[in-house]
Order: sequence, then structure tokens, then C-alpha cells
Amino acid sequence: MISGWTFGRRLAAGFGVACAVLLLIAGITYRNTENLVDTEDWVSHTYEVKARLADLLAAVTTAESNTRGYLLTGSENYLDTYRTALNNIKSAFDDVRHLTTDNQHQQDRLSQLQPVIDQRLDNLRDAIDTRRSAGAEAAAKLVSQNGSGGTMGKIRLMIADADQEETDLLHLRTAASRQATSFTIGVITWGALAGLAAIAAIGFLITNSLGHQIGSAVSHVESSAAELQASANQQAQSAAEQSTAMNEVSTTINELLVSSRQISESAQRVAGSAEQTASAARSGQGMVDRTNESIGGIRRQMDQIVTHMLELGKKSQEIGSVLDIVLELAEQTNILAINATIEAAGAGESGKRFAVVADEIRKLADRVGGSAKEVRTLIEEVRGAVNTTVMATETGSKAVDSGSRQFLDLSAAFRQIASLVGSTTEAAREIGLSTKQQTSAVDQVNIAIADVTQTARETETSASETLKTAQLLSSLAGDLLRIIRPGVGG
Amino acid sequence: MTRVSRQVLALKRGFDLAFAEPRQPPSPQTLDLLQVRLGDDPWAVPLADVSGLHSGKRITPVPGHAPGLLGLAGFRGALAAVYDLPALIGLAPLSGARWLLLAAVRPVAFAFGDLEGHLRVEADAILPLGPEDGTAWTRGFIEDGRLRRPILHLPALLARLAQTNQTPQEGNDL
Repeated sequence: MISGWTFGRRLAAGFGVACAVLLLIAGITYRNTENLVDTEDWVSHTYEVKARLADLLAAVTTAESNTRGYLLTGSENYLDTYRTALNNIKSAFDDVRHLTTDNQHQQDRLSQLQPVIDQRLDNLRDAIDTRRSAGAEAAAKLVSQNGSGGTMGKIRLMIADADQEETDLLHLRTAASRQATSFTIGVITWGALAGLAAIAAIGFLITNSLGHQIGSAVSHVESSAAELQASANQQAQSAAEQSTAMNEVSTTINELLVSSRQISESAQRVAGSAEQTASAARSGQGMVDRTNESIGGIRRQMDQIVTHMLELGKKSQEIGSVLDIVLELAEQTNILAINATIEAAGAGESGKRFAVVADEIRKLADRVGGSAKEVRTLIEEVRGAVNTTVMATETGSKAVDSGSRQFLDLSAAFRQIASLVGSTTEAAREIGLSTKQQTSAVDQVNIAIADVTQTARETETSASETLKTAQLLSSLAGDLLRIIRPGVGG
Repeated sequence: MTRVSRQVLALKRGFDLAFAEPRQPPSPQTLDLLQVRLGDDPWAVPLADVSGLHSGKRITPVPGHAPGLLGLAGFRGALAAVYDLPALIGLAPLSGARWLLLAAVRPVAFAFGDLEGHLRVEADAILPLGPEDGTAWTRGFIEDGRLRRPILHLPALLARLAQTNQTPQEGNDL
């Protein structure tokens, strides 16, 4: 797990462990010091109790002695000291009682001592009062009656017992203080040694680990520097080749630029030609439309011709019918003439003149019949001609229809040509515009290629610098490896 | 001038000429003939042998076994027997009788198919028959252009009909 840690994390962990050891030692030492201070406080407390017990005994003794001095001399100076001693007794006794509140045994002893001291002080006050009122002898007598030596002895004994107990406590607390001091010294000593050992071990581990890791990293840096060096060489070579290629591309782009401008000019000429063609196509379409209208007129005229021809055929047929009647009449006239001739022949001499008339009538009927036959032949020819004309007219009408349809197709073709030419014009314009845009784009590409060429040169320079940097990095990696692994590397 | 115009002009001149020429009475040496077509052959019938020429007459069939008899037809209030003229002279029978010749001497009519016209010829234009042309009802022929037109001897035909009608069981051959 540690092998995956970073350099900073390992250092932090090592210093953390060292700090933890030091904190543990400091904590233990702090705790022992507090214990030692407490022990010393209790020792001082015991000394203070003993001092206040001594003060109490001294004040009682002072009150006893000054009372005796007043009794013997009657001087009020002794009473002043006596009064001061009384205050000291009270103060010392209260201090002792206060200082020994944690010791019930001493509190009980003080409870026994207080009435004894009060009794003695009452005796002293009685003696003083007696001296002041009755004189020295009365006072001496009273003192001898009260037997002051026993009470004072009891007080001294009880204060001595209390002092002895405090002395015992002082011994105990002094021993505890010494033990705490000794333990604290031991903790500090051994803790310092343990901390040093831990720091040394951590330092060793970190140094060893970092040495391996940095060594490995330096090895990688070395190999990477070598690769970077090779790559920089290759990059420099590629940059040089790219620069050469960019020069060639720039030349080609310049040629392409010239071609694009030529294409643009050609597209403009094509657009102009297409516009002229569109105008011609529109004119042609108008001409076709007019021609188509003329063909429509021709067709109407031909329809009228057909109508007239059919009417002519019908009239010819009617003429034929009339002619049939004429032929019939001629035939009947001929029959009548022949019969008249027959009758005239039968009439003898008187019928000869009639026979002449009948003969003329017959000749006339023959001529009429012959002429009617010729007229019939002519009418048949006229009808044939009419039929031929009608057929020719119908053929012409069909041809006109076909021509009209072809003109419609031609008109549609012209419209399509006009549309296509319009599309061609639009396409030519778009080509011209696109070619201009292409020319502009090629200009920009040319500029970009110049930039790329410049960049390639800069890349070549940068690659050379990278090569130098890689060499320097390789040298630095060797130096670093020699620093962390003495005797390794060149 | 077109062909029609020329024809019209010729017709008009013909009319004018016909009415402008002096009337010439027929010569006694001339013979009036009817140009008829019997079967496919041209024939001529003398007008002197007929009393009338008619067309489009209705022929009513009558029962009987007379050869060539087509039926009866009315001619100006008189009935006449109608015979198939081509059949009588040995040609193919008529398919439709349009023209009728009424004989001059007897109420007998002869039907034929086509009337070609009237022809007036001089008497010496009639040529005699050769030994190979001779039949009982032919009395000569004329040269009508390139045609050789026999002249029908209608009285002989009537005589043969009369003889046949008297002896009806002799057969079809006159």
C-alpha cells in the first residue's frame, strides 16, 4: 500500500508518526509533571500546615508568657503582645483547620484542641483580670489554683501529635514526589530515545523508499529523455520535410489560385453566353409561338378548304343527280324521237317532215346524252379531284397537326432550353461566385500554408531546442541518479 | 383553253349548227337501224320492223312453257307478250330486261339489255351474208366502224314464234 503513496504523503506519514511518538512522550511527561506538581503542592501544603501549627503553638506560648509578664510586672505592654497573640492564635487555628479540611483525623484532633486552647485562654484572661482588679498576689494565687502547667502541656502534646501526623504525611508525599520525578525523568529519557529510534527508522524507510522510487523515476526520465531526444530528432526532420512540402504546396496553391481566377473569368463568360442563349431561346420560343399561331391559322384555313371541298363534292353529287335526270330526259327524248321516227315512217309521205323533226330531236337528244355523259365524266373527275384534294387536305391537315405538335414540342423544347439555359446561367453564376469564394479561400489557404511553413520552421527550431533540452534533461537525470545512488551511472 | 371548255364550245356549236343547217329529208335509199347489244354482241334492228321502243316497263310473268317468254306488258292500253330476245336467237338469257321493242306487225315485244343508239345507213351499206353467216333471223350486216353488226330479221323471228306457238311441243330450238 505504501508503495503507491506519493512522495509528499510518505514524508507526511513519516513526520506524522514521529510527531505522534513525540506527542505521546509529551503527553506522558505532561501527565507526570502534573502529578509531580500536585505532589510538590501537597508537600508545600504539609509544610504550610506544619508552619501554621508551629505558629499556633508559638502564639499560645506568647500569650502564656506575656500573661505571666503582665502578672509579674503589671505592664500594659505585655497585654498588647498578649492581644496580638490572641489574634495570631485565632488566625493560626483557622488556617490549620482550613488547611486540613481534607484530613478528617486532623479535623477531629483540632476539634479536641480548640476547647483546650479556649480553656487555657480563659484562665489567662481570668488571671489578667484578677491582677488588674485584685493585684499580683491574688492573681498568683489564682494561677496556682488553676494549675496552668497541665493545660499547656496538653496543648503542646496535641499540637505535637498534629505536627507528627503532618510530618508523616510529608514523608509520604515527598516519596511520591520523588517517585513521580523519577518516572518523569524515565519517561523523558526513554521517550526521547524511542522517538529518536522511530524518526531514524522512518527516515531510513522514507529515504530507502524514495531512493528506489526517485531512482526508478530518474531511470524513466533518462529513458524518456532518450526517447524525447529521438523524437525531437524525428520531429526536427519531419519539420524540415514539412517545411519543404509546404513550400511545394504553396507553389501548387499559387498555381491553383491562377487556375481559379481563370475559371472564374471563364464562368463569367459562360454566364454571359448563357444569358445571350437564354435571350435567343426566348426569341426562338416567341417565334415558335407565332409560327404555331400561323399553323393554327393554316389549319383553320385547311379545315375550311376541307369543308368547302366536301361541299363541292356534295354539290358535284347533286349535279350528278341532276345530270342523271338530264340523261334520263335525253334518253326519254331519244326514245320519243325514235318512236316519232317510227310513227313518221308509218305515216307515209305526210310523215316525212315530221320524221325530219324527229330525227333532229333524236340527234339533239344524242348530243345531250353524249354531252351529259361527258359532263358526268367531268363531274366524276371533279369528284375524284375533290376526293383527292380532301384526302390531300386531310393529309396536309394531319401534317399540319403533326407540325403543330412538333411546334408544340419545339416550343416546349425552347422553353426547356430557356429553363436549362437559365439553370446554366444560374449555375455559371454560382460557379463564378464559388470560384471567387474558392479564390478567396485559396488565398486564405495560401496564407495559412505560409503560416504553417513558418510554424514548421519554428517547429524545427523548437525541435532543436527540445533536443538540447532532452540532452540536458538526460544529463540532469544522470546527475540526480548519481546523487541518490552513489556509484551508479557515469 | 381547257378540255372542258373545248367540249362545251363544241357542244354549243353542235347545237347551233343543228339548228342552223337546212333540213334534209331522209333519202328513200336510207335505212334507219337501232343499235342494240344482245349478249356481248352488237346487233342492229330496222326501225321499220318495230312500232315502238320502250324502257322500264313492268313485265308480269304468266304461266306457260313458251320458250323465251318473259310475261306480259302493257303498251298504251294494249297487252303484248314479252320475249327474251337474246334467248330467242340462242344467246345467254337476260339477267334484267330494261329495253323493250314492240313489233310492228303483231303485239309482241322483245326485251334486250342495252340500247346503243340510232343509226341511219344507206341501203347499199347493207352487206349480204356469207354462207357461214346465214341464220333464219339475220338478213345482212353492216360495218359499224370496226364492228361487224348483224341486222336482225324481226319478221322471220315473229314467224318462227307464231309457228312455235302453234306447235308448242317442238322444243326450245326455234
